[in-house]
Amino acid sequence: MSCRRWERMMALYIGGELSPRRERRAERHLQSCSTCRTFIRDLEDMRNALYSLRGEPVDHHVLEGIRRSVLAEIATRESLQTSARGLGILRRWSWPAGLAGIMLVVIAATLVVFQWSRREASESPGVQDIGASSHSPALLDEPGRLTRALPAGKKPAQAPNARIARRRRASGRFRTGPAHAKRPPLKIPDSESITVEPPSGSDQLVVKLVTEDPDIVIYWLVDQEGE
Amino acid sequence: MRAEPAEMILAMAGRQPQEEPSSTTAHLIAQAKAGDTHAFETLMIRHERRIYRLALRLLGHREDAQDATQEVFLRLYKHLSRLDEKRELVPWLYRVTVNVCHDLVRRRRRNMTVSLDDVDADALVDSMKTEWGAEFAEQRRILAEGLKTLSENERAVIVLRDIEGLSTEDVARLLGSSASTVRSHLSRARVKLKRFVDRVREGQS
Repeated sequence: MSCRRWERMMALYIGGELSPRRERRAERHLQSCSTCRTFIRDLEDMRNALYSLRGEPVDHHVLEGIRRSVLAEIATRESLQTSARGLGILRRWSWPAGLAGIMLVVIAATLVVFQWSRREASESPGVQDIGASSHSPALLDEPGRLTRALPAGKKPAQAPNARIARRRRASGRFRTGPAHAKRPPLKIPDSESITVEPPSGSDQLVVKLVTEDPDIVIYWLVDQEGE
Repeated sequence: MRAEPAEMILAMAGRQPQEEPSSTTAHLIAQAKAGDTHAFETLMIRHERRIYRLALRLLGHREDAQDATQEVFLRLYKHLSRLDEKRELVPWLYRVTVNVCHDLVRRRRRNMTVSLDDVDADALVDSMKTEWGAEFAEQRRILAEGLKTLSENERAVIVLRDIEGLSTEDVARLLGSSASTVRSHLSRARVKLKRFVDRVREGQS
């Protein structure tokens, strides 16, 4: 019998890998075959040498390099995950945030339109009156007392009141709204109380209105065009 | 000398060794799970040498072994939340190492022959000479070269069984095959390796 046939069985015999029946068979053969006994001894030496490979030295620089790479990769992945998480939050909140923005814009636009229409409604008759008066050549071309442009004894009834209300709102000194709306219109005592004075070096006229209330003196600017 | 593999075999069978060497490892895993990078680094320091050697033996190429080791620890980090800290970490690391090396071999199959020849064997021998002397260093160099002549399965089986000292059943579990298949690969691998060593020695003499 050629020992070559036994080699693979002997290769398992050294590690105790054979079944009891095959192991007994192998042992019987080993008792009569010196070649296989030598083969077994060499295999054992080789196996011990292989086992010693476990302790072979490893360059610590190599291990440090691996560790650094792993930790750097982890740091990169962590930062990417954080960014992705942030993007996820943004993505989750983008629709509500967009809707809220649109609603804010709509509300702001509505308020502006409402204020504008209210202002137009309150100004329209007075402005026309004032406009008619201020476009008077006597008023614009000849600075001095307004009584020249106004008929004697006639009060500039509603127009200045509208201006007064606007100036009050602009100055912020008085509240606007329902309470103000309920207040009685200011009475202008007579035409003598309105003066028109040109400021020095300016194209504008300053209109001074003295009301019955001594605490309220109203100024407003009128340019050469009467605006 | 064989205490370490015995511990591993116990662990792979799902039992805890008496001295519970992994109690600190469990603590480190728990800390790493909580986001402690230093704990994870300590885990790496503890196991990197063993994993790198295993990868080097399975792949036969230093750079591939570095890539594989890196990938193993990245997978460890990724799977930290799913790891049971009560179980041993080493069997899990071995299984992942074997899988990663298998993937690498498959991916680089075309370059495998070239890369195996590229192993810096002289540098390895030099480092061995300083530690164990020239004769042992030469013997190990021949074995390292001989391992490269084996097929992937044969190499995996002999590395895990004869170098790492795992049982045949554990090797079968790691490789996802039967014990009889492992024995078949093992007997063929041992015989091939012995023939290679004999040829080299005959050539030298």
